Amino acid sequence: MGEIAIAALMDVLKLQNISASMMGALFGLFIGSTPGLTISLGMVLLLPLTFTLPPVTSFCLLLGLFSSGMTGGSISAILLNIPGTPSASATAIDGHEMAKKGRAGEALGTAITSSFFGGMFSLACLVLIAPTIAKVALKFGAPELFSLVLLGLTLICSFGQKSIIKGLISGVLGLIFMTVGLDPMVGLPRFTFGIVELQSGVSFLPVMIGLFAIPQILEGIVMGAEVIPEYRARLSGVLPRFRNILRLIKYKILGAVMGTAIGAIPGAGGPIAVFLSYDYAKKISKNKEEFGTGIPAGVAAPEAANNGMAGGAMIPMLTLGIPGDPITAILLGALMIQGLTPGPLLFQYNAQFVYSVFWAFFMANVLTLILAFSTIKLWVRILQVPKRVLLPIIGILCVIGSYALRNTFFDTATMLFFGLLGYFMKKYEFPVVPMLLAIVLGPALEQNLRMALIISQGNPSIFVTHPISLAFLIIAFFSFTGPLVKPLISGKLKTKNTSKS
Amino acid sequence: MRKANIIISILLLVFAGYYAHLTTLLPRRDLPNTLGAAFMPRLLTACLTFLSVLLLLRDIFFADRIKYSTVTTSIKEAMGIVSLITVFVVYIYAMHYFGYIMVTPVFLVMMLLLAGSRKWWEVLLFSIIVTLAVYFLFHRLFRVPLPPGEIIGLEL
Repeated sequence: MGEIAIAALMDVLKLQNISASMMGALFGLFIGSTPGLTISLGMVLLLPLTFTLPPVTSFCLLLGLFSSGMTGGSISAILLNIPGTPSASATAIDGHEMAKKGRAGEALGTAITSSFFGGMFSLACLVLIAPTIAKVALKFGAPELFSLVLLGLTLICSFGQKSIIKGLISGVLGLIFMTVGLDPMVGLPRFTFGIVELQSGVSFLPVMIGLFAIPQILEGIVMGAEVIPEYRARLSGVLPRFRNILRLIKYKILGAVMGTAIGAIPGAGGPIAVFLSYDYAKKISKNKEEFGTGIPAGVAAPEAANNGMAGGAMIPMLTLGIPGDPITAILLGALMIQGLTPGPLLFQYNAQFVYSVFWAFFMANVLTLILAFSTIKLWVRILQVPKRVLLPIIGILCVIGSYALRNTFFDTATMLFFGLLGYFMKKYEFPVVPMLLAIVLGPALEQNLRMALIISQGNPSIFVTHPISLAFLIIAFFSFTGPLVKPLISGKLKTKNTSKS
Repeated sequence: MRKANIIISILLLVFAGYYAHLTTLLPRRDLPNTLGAAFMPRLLTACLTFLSVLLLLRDIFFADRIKYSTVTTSIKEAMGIVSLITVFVVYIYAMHYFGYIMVTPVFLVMMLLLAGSRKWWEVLLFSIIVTLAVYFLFHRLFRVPLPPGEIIGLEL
């Protein structure tokens, strides 16, 4: 194992991989710090570049973006009170108050060091936990895998926060799109309408680009890009003192633990992790009343949670092939583009690659720390770049990115179709993430279901007679019914309390 | 939003019906004791129908329990969407014949004008610089294929 880890390190330390990681980190800082541009969008825009790159270089690029995008989100949150990413929302509470008091540099320094701490902590958890989970998951057969994928899909409910029905419809539509193409078991064409390009199914890259990027372009240009206020004050004291870093260590540990744990639960989501860690930091602090008035502890906890989530979210993605959020769903897609199968088999057959991913994540965290400190003033200036300039560039990248997958304009048309669909889904409050998850997990769901039934000669009891499969089904049931039952229970409790009072 | 939800659920029901019809046309080549190619589509048809009916019933009978947000579409917004999509379609179609290098600056000029830029020299300069920058980054550095154009495209 040690030899594999060293070989992986040597691989990651190649010049092209360091350059890729640095490029990803710079792009991530840009994406993260620009309000309205999400890390998912950055990922889908960079994906086409990975087609011709080796898998390790591709992951250095993408993980550089993932890690630094999370950190970059805090820049606009602190300086302008506009979170660059949803996960940076909690950072804005105290961070912006600090900026208003002329302590923007200190707030940014705290955010960057806390992000680094959170990222490294989650990496340690990933390295320690992932191989063990993968070893257990190796014993999974078709019934277990079906139940596991079903469990992953029930997370759809958690994404349909405004309306569970709409979340489920979005997921079912995603599954319907994935039935297009050759049948996975007998090779019969389904819903291809005689179009050759459809025989290999709906490619998920154009779908991802369409769902994430096109609605932003349409909204940004049609509705008019928002005017970002200018930050004029001088930035000083960004580099924190060692004493201050140590003073905040308990908040960083709290944030990192919560971020990693919540990140590892598929579907839990970044904003939950950061707000919970902010809330707990307030609870454990001696100066509770100072939270919200601009104190470094209010920045340290959510920022550590923010980056802690990154490593946490990679645990189910790498070990089980279950993405927990849109970013890891895109990373999963990147693995598939490279011809690698995510899940326990990845640890068995591509162990060196897995270790390279660990090292790449380590390098991404270190480079983010260095680049964020050294280029912070640049990002403050870039915040002022008008969106009307950025959106047309994103438009070109969408078109050529979807074209480059198979050198066919059919994929660009697919991208545009899903872009328009994504725009209307967003407008009418249908979440797009369930559709993305269904598209990524759909083929595995059908394949394992049918495979398990072939093994059992058509007897569906195979799913409940296998204990692990049964356990997954029970969890899936509660994960599915939980969000449906929760409002009923809380409603009853409310009525009880009202009648008592 | 209530009215929109009702219309959407009816449209989804129509789609589910069409999908169910397509499912009946799937050729049968089933192996013994296995589920055929139509099993999953049939299951999904049932799910979509059920959920669409649920959405429809919810918005008809329980509308008073739901907090709806207001969704409006102005003529300006509709025109903007149509113009943007048209620009995208024309860009993709034109690129097929004339290639990336020739068509992209024109696409960028149109996008920038739609986005509200009015300084001609800035728009032109920006379009050419971005086209070349993307070409060098994607094609030269990362070897990502860009559409060469079938009729008079430049050799990439």
